[in-house]
Amino acid sequence: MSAAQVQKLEALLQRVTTRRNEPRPARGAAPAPRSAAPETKPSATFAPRPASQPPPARSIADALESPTAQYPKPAATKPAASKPAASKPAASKPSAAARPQARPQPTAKTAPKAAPAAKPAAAKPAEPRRVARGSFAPPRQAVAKVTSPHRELTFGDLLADALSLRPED
Amino acid sequence: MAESSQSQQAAFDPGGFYEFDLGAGAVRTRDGERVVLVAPEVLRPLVAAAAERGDLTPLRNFGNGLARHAKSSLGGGAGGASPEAVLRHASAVVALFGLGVLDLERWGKALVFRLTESPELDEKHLAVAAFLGGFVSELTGQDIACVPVGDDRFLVTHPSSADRVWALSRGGSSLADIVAVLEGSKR
Repeated sequence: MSAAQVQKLEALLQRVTTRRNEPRPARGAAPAPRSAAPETKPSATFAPRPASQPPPARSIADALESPTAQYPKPAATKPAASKPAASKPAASKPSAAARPQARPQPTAKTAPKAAPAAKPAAAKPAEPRRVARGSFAPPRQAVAKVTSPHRELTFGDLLADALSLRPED
Repeated sequence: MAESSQSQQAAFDPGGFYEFDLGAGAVRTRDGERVVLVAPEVLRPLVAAAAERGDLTPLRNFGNGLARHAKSSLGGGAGGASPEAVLRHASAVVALFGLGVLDLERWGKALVFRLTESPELDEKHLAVAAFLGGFVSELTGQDIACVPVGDDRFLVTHPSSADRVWALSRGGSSLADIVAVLEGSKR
């Protein structure tokens, strides 16, 4: 341990002992506000920290510059990671409407399956669609127009037809 | 135009067609035309004599006069009216003069008038043919010939074709044959 580290340790111990000597609040009373201790206030809250002033000690681990204190080990996150596993049964219980949401996320095995699932979607346009109206026969309206020319024959029309019949000499 | 269409759709109104003036000893149509009521037996020898002489103009004129009644009832010429409307009004007028039941047939493109229940005026039915010719000519505004092609049927044809049709009919050709000849010659 270096001399500087020893000095820091000594300063810390001194602070701890002074806190212990402070009068404790009565049982059940509200704890003394932390703001009363100027050391607890984060540095550079209202003004930049002077370069000469050493950063306030946050904890023993900080004082020792232990990386583990600043960056928690991955093991600490394990319980949090296990939470979804615990919620799985709960998710499967709700009504059928919620089931699709409770479906397990695609695993590495199912992920490739998702890609083929996209194939039918891409193939949809190529699927044989219903024959378009009028493909093989004219639409009904057109048929109606063709089959009913519709001008009512007049007596004059009949007479003209009759007079057009003339025998050859 | 609208009035004309309404007249065509309406039935012929025979009410008040004749006015009997007993004091004057006259019968008039509602158009003021004087008519004489005679029995067919009186008419028959007169018509036969006219047919033998070869002049049936009075009967043709008689047809013209009756067609004017029909035209008046139709609200205009028959050319633009439906065949049903023309027949409805024409047959009503013909019936009012006691000449029989007029009907219209179509044989292919040929038009045929049929007059049944009519008094027999001459053996060859030329009097009725003259009457119908005058009737249709006045009705349509064209020169029309109606040629007898059977006991009670008369083929509507152009006057220039009438003699040919008459010859076929006199030769024993049926109406269907005559129409076939007419249509065949057109091809």
